[in-house]
Amino acid sequence: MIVSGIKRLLLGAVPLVTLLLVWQGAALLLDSSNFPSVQQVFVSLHTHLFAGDMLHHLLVTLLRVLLSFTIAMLLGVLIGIMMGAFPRLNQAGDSLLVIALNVPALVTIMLCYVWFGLVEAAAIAAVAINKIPTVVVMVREGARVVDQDLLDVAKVFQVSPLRYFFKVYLPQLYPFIMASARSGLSLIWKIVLVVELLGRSDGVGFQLGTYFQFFDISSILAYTLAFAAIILVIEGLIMRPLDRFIARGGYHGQS
Amino acid sequence: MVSLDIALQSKFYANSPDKVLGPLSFSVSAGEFVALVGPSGAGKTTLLNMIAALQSSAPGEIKFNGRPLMGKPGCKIGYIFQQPRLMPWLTVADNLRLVKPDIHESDIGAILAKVGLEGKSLLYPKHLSGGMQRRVSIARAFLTEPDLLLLDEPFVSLDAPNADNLRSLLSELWVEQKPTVIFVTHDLNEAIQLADRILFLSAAPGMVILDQPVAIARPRLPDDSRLQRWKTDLLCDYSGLLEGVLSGPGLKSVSGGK
Repeated sequence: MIVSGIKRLLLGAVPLVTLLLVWQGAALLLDSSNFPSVQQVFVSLHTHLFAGDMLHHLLVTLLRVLLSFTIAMLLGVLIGIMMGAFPRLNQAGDSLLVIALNVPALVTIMLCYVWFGLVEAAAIAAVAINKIPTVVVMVREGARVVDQDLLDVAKVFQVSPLRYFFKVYLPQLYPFIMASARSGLSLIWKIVLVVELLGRSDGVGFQLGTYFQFFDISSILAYTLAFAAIILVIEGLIMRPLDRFIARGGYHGQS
Repeated sequence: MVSLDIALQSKFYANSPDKVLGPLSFSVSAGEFVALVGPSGAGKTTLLNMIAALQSSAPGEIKFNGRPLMGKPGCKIGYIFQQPRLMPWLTVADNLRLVKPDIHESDIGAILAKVGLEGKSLLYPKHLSGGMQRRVSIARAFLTEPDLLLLDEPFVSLDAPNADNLRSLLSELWVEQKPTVIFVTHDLNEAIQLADRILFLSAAPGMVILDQPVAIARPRLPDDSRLQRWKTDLLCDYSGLLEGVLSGPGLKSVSGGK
């Protein structure tokens, strides 16, 4: 068990180490301030982390990510279930959904800032609005293929509405919700950075914008690295255990 | 226990001009074990689903203790489906709790012991064999002490010894709780072994072509010579029964029963 764990860890580390080595080699070859070495980036990371205010900006961005992620997931799952369960609602909302999917994130962000002002609520709303349509699409697909046979079991045995929803209906959607959460997290934090770049005075996006003006690539990469590390931790501590929970009993959704 | 009166004029498949059932009319007394035997496509499962209020009713009526069915199950129903239909994400114990949330741990242990699944309560369905999953579905159906038990070919595709064991188990549990039973099967031997009465259905659209009481004293074992003799006599009288056709020398005395 431990040996296989170590093997898995080593296997995962190989591409990462290779990337770092190639990066370091290229930086040495190019010898340009626009292409800092691995060492320079880590020094910058250390400085920002312990002497600068990186932690504050990371925390602010993380809060925005979590808030907009939660709102997007809740609304997206709700609308997705409704559209999957009620064909008429789906017909009525489908063209709207296609439009929402294709409106550029940048446009939504600009409109939110113009209409609601450069405030926190506008930033969160802009991110959530960008993500909701993709959650709706994935959950709707799940709601369309729920196993009617299992729902019939609950109906015949007169299972209460709450237990019907949480024990029979919703578990069939978990794989779809999980897939949209996974893709959502990576998409949302990228959108949050744009939102911060355009209209906030703190957060990783704001900092990246500032460092871009000074062509401080080391700091840009240090911030990117730090936030990617946070997402990796979320993936390891929340997403993977959730995956295991959903796959209990070997259920991976309707094929 | 519940009595049933069924009088359906016709039932069509959704979005199809094909008639699947009717006219169809029969009654089931409270506590009676009735088997429905008929060829594939005779609408047996459709009929069970209509009784369970899983499919919309057709012109005509289904009455529970004289009261018409109004869109939801008319009494406490247990249904053993052709497939076990256990929730894959719930353990055996949680599958049972789903239909009876207030059940005690000891009662779960007791019912599982009764169906031969002692110590399996924490396993997920994927860890059980097909026969074991069916045992869980039998336990689930009897757990609620149903007034009406519907069975849709529950032992199909099981090996013979396993199916025999489960038939005995079903028989024991029925004797213990005495629900009214409607049992759909293709297997005439199975029907003779278990039922008080057998209703033979025609090919689609399903109609009752023969209503035959099984006047053989219980217990009835699978290798009981009385069952074989009864079957042979019946098929001599009505040779086309299993194809859903009422034909043969017995046709002359059909009103008298066997």
